[in-house]
Amino acid sequence: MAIKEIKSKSKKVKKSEGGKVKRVKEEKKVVKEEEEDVSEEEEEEEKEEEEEEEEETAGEKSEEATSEKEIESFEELGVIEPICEACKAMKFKKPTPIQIHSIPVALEGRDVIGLAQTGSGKTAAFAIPILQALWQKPSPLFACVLAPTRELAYQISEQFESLGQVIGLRCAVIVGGMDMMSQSVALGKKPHVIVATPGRLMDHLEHTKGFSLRGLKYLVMDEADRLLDMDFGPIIDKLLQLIPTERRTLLFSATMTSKVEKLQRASLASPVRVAVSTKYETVKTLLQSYLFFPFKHKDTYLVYLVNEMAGQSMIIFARTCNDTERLAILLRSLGFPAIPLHGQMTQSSRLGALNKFKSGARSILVATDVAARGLDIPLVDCVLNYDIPTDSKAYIHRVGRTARAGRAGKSLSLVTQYDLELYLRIEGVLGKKLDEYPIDKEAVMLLSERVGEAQREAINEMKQLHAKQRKRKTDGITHGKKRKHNDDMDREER
Amino acid sequence: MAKAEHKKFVKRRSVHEVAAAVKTKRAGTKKIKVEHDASKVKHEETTQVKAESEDDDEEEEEEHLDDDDDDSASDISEDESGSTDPFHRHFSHPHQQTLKKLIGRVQAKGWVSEKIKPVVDGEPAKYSINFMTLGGAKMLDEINVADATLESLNTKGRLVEPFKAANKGFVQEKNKTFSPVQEAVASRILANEDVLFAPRTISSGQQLQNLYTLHMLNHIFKTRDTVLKNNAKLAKRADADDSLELRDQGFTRPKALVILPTREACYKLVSTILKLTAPSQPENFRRFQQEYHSDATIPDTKPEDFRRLFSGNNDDNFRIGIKFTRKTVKMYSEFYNSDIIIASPLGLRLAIGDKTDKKRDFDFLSSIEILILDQTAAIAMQNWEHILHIFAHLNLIPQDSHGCDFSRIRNWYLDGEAKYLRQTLIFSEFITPEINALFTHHMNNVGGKAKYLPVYNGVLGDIGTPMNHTFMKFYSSSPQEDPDKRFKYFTTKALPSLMRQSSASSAGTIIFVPSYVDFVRLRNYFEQEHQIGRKLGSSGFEFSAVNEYTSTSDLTRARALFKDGKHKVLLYTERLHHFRRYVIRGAESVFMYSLPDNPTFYVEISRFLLRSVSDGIAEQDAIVVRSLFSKWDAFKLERIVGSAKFAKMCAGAGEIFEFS
Repeated sequence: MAIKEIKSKSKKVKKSEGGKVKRVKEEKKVVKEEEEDVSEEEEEEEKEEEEEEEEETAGEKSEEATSEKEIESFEELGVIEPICEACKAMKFKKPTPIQIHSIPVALEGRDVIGLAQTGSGKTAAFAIPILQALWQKPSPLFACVLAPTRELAYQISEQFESLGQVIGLRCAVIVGGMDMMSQSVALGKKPHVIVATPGRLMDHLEHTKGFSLRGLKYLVMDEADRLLDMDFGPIIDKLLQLIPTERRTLLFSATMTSKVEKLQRASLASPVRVAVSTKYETVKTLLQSYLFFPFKHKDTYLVYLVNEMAGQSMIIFARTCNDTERLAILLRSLGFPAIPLHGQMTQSSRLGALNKFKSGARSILVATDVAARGLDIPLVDCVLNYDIPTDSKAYIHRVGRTARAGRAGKSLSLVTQYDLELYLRIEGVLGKKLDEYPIDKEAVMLLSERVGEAQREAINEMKQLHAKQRKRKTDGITHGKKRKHNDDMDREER
Repeated sequence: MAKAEHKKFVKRRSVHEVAAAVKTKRAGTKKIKVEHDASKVKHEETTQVKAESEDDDEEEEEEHLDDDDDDSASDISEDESGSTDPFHRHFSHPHQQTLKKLIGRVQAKGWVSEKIKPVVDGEPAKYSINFMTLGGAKMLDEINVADATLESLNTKGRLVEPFKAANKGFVQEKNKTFSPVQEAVASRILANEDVLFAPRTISSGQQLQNLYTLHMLNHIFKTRDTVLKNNAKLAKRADADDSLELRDQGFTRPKALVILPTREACYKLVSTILKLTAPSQPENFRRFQQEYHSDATIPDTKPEDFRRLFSGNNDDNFRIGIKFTRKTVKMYSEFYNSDIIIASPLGLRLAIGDKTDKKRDFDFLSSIEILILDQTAAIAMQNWEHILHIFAHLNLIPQDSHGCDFSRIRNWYLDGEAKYLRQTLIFSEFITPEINALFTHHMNNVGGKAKYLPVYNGVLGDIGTPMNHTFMKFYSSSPQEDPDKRFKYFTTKALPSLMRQSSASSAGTIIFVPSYVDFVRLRNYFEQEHQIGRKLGSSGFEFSAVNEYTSTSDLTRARALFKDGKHKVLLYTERLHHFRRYVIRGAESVFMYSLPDNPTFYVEISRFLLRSVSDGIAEQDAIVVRSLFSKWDAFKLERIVGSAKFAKMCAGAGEIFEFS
């Protein structure tokens, strides 16, 4: 039943394309409707997805299509001159749908829940209204942007800085894994905007004397659904107690929960819901396909595919940190320029890996879901799902790393006999069957011997690596404890 | 081969320097003292830890006390932007754009130099001033101190009377505040500019100390009062209003650092501080007196500057924090609760620790706003590396917050610009290339800097009796190759004639070697010659070599052998002379491998020869002092032959210059 509804929805979206987008006013009435579902919300995650669908449709009913006219420039949205200039400098030719619909609402000073496809310019959609408000009344510690991963936080701050350069914006990034002291110093300078991961921000609120968010005017949660769910929940609750209630709150994501309990957590005040896509929509320019084969040939298939697409830049997503490490070694030993990225690396090597990939020094990034959300890396040609994500939302975010901002891209999912159920669920959520990737199976099998050799090598190397790490751990017990504490404070996707 | 060998020595020396050298040297100085408790260092450390825990809660109370004393006249209203007080213009509210511009100029090394020969009472002064400014905008206007009163110079009320009383003995004219020496530097010091004052003398030492102590205390009291007042202001507003921007402090509390050579010097400084603050009862003072002061004296036979420096407690390993509360002064306060840190280079170096040390702490140096080096010439005779080490750790952004309130830290601290605002004052008896390097590289005060250089008359006339002085110049294109060129010149040109002469006479030759590196190189060379000589069947080349690390018994023996003419050559270092001031007997000639930094040493060593004449060992006509110099020795040469002659000697084509 749920799937049917989605289909009807996606039709609507097609209709509304080219500037015709829905704007949903989520008035209290709607919230009441949703509250009926509250009792069911304790149920299992699997069901949760479906429930959310229903909630969504409930909201859909009250939808009314507004603003049909074409908007070609930021000026028309009411954005002031200097920021328009900055947009031009960043080569934003015209506002994207999410920007068209959320910016005017946010400029009015309303709370916004923004839902738009991956790569559709959500960061600017919340950055511009904040910068404009700041321009009108400059004050220190004006806005705080929360992001679930450190890399995303850096990326957001970069965008803020380049947009805000003209108005002399000061922006600080407060994330785990970096030196507390220099962050304290940055906070002491009272920047206008703080981009932070929740754990470290809490740490500073508790331990850095002279720093508080009592004057905060804007709170933004990017990848809001992630921030509002179980892992970050308690910290977010604590944070919100330290932030004044008289503030504007903006929530943005490509996938959005509409569960009341979660949204209540963000304590919005009569928010406007701006949805440019349904929650589980992928971009049209994205070519999605899958491959089905027995589990034992997984590495061989992977190597074959990587070889096929040699020279293109791609992200390979695996489930565990260990797997990313192993695959990177395996690929490297076969002569592919691969680099791992996962949550167990130090922050500096994480940033290093990302920069190498961004600059093109390495064309293959092997990552966990830490890189699934929000990262805007231009020119990713392909996303390879080595492991099928357990969470269908994660799938949307993963494949959203390619085909960004109107470009083309493709995604490939490796499905084995064990992943079948997960995969079908994703197809269900997407509401369409994907095509099978055409492949010459015999050609793949030709590689198996070479891959087997590389596998053994990789396993050996992993063993050495682990032995080294263990030694380091026993060497620096005191350090380890401290770091562990910090990591706990800054839980994120691994 | 010689070069490689030399490098080896340098290396050896550098290791030596850090560890052993200091220790042994310290041991050397200790011996001069009549009594010295060897376990003192350890004792102090343990007690210092104790003092930490002692650190009372009274602090908290005191923090909230309102400003209630008589300073209201000099207290500044809330808007200080229009104030003429250097404290506000330089430290608390510097003009943002001017500051950024000036820092840019410092970074670009855009110093503009201006040389002035001041005239005092119609006669040219005994010093010249080299002003270094950054051109264009200035942090503040010139201060005229000639007829100013302390009040008009923004001095805290509570310092005025005590200073007048303490300074009374030095002021010559009735209406004046300062003595002539003080007046010469006060306009710079009180304007928070950097000063390198090289004409420090025994008589002007205390006057300078009075002046810089006044300035330092004034700065600390102003800082402290502002902080306390703002505390009160914040407490009144409670947390209702966050918009209040009160940036009035650094990362940590210590604001002034004074580096002195000995404990006794520290005791004298603290006495001056107490005179100016007149506290009812300084805390821990009895203990301070015990550990930093002794009545040990040195016999009158030694020169006066030596007695001044080494009498009393001459231990060169100490560090102490001093904290001011509203009513009193507390010694041995924990560094992070102190306003002033007084330390010797060694003591502070040990506190900072090395890179290899597991636990190091130098955050207490992060917020030093006034740095003073007094008796720097004596410090230069200790281990200069420590000084560089200290400078390298000054005004860094700390590694730990130490509970500081980030919303009240001044912006230029957060921007890491503290080193461009720090005021550095160096008082020295003479200038060495090392001290000059501090002036060039480490004194980056945006307020500008001034170097006071004495005009020297030369010391050749001070010896008393005319004798022959020969200065031999050799050429070297850079200070780096100077040691090699010097060694080559010495062994090929100077040494053969020296040997010929000394074998003809029964009296000996002192070879004076200021640098330890050169000393080791020469000693090895002589050793080699000796071995070769013995192999060839002669008695070899007998010589003694003594330096600052030589034990007393070895020293005595070497001196006796030399006096009796059994050893014709004695290698003698400058540091040994600095720490012992022996009179070496039995010499007919002196060869200065390099000139001494301290011009007095030239006189004293030359007088060894007069002693030989009166002992009947040498003929008045035969005695001669020969010196080797290159253009890199200009500073040293100036002090010995006088400002009028040295330039010609350095620049001229001549190789040998004789005076008699």
